Amino acid sequence: MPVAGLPRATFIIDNGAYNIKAGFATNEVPSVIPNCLARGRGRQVYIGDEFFTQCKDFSGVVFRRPFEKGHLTNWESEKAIWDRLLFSNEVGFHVDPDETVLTVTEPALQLPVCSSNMDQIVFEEYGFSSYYRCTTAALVHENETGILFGASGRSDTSLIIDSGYSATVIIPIIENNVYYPAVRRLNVGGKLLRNFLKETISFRYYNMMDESWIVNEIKDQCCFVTTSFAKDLETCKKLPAARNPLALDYVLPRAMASGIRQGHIRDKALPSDPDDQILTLGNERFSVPELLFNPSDIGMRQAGLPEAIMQSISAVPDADVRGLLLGNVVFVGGNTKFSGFRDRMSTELRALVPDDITLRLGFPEEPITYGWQGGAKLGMDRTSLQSRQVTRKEYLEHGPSICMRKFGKKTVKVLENNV
Amino acid sequence: MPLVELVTGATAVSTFAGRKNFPKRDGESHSVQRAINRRLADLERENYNDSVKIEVPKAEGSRSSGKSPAVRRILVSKKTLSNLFDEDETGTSDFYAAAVEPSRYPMRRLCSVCGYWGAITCIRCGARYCSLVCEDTHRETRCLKVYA
Repeated sequence: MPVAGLPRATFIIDNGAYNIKAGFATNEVPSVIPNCLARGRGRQVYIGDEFFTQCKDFSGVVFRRPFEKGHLTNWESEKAIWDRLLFSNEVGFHVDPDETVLTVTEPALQLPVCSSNMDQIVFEEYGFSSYYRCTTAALVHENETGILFGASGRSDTSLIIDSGYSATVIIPIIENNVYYPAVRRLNVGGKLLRNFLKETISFRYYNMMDESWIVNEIKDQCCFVTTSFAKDLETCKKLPAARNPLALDYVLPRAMASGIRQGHIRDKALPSDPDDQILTLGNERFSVPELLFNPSDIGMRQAGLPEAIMQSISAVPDADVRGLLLGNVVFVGGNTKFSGFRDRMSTELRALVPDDITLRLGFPEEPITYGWQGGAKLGMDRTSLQSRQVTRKEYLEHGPSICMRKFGKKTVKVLENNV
Repeated sequence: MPLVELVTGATAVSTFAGRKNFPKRDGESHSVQRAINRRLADLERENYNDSVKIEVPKAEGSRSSGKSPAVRRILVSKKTLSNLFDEDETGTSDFYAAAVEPSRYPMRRLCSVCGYWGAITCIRCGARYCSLVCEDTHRETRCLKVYA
């Protein structure tokens, strides 16, 4: 078999609803690009990364996303974003699809027609030489997850919790295959948290219903997960803002002669500028991320994440496998970055898990790019990737159905015998 | 605490006496549930103004689009998620079957105005508040939205 026939590069796209993490398998880190079209006040439309490089005023920006509730439904916009990602000079990848192996992620419970549309676009529109489609969790699982638990190596069974923009999904991977009957989806994601914060701020302080981006910044900078909700709630109620250690002053962004000064937390040591617009946040700082643990606070009839994890676990029929899963839990996704998330999750989960089970929770340093890192590691392992992918030749011979067969649900052998 | 329970209990009885439809178990009637669902749908929006349409800019010198009829159909398709759900029953039921179930523990009640514990329920619309100050704010702003 002549070596010249092999494609020269492997490109991995972790296609999130909020951000795309993309790069060649040989890159150290991926490029993180917004997966949206944005339109600023001046009617100028920005595609993907243009939003950061070209948009000067983030107030009043509206967004259009190819994803809807966790399914990739709109290819007209996604193609524009991917074209820029793959071919533009500014992003600089200059991908040659003919000579490239592509790995792309899709949401775990996506409608089959959406997955099939992606297959057709990849082969018929871009013409990649071969392609592997899987969930982000499958790529996370490829990492050497042992490091997260103070050990080394990796297990073939792990429980991945991906808390992203659209939702939080719990995915058990058993013997390297996603076990779909136990996948669970909690409808609390970054979008809900941002919108809840926006609604709360608009009701209590300033109307910011048009300021999705600015509120998102506030959420990232000011919110945290509390370990004692009742205590912190009392503190915020009893103490006035000046004496409340939890209250925070946030300086809203404003236009200045030198450009736009970004929003930031006010430094109490510096003298305050009278032109600054200050937003004082109190219990919103922790009641917003609290929705991950108690969605019923806003009337959502779903259990919180620790209980949801146990719901997923109890859907796995074998007790030994359940123990293995709980011994290899990995948290990825932007929402896991809230300060205090780790401690709160450990405490609550430990209380729900039987004493005789060893619970090991893994929190990667970079939860947003950890999935891509797994994809890059897989990309460097030629034989492993080759066994999973579909080549262009196979696609042209058998049609899109071969992708559905090869990337579709696999039976998990160890559980089959227990039925 | 017991006094509050007694008051709300008495109110419930007098409001619904003689009616065929009793409220749901935790005292939330169907109209209240509708309001909650409407609010949750609002919280799922991307932009506040739903009718915002952002056109994909036509790039100069872009690669040719729609090389095959299947792809052309995908690229011009204006189908939304609800259209796709209608078309695929199995996929939709798989998606919803994987939703996390309600909690075994009772819901916490927070004041809809200030976020503290909300012990008192508004008679008209079912929202919670914690004190007379918050009750005033609630009456002036958000109440009567459900009482249509």
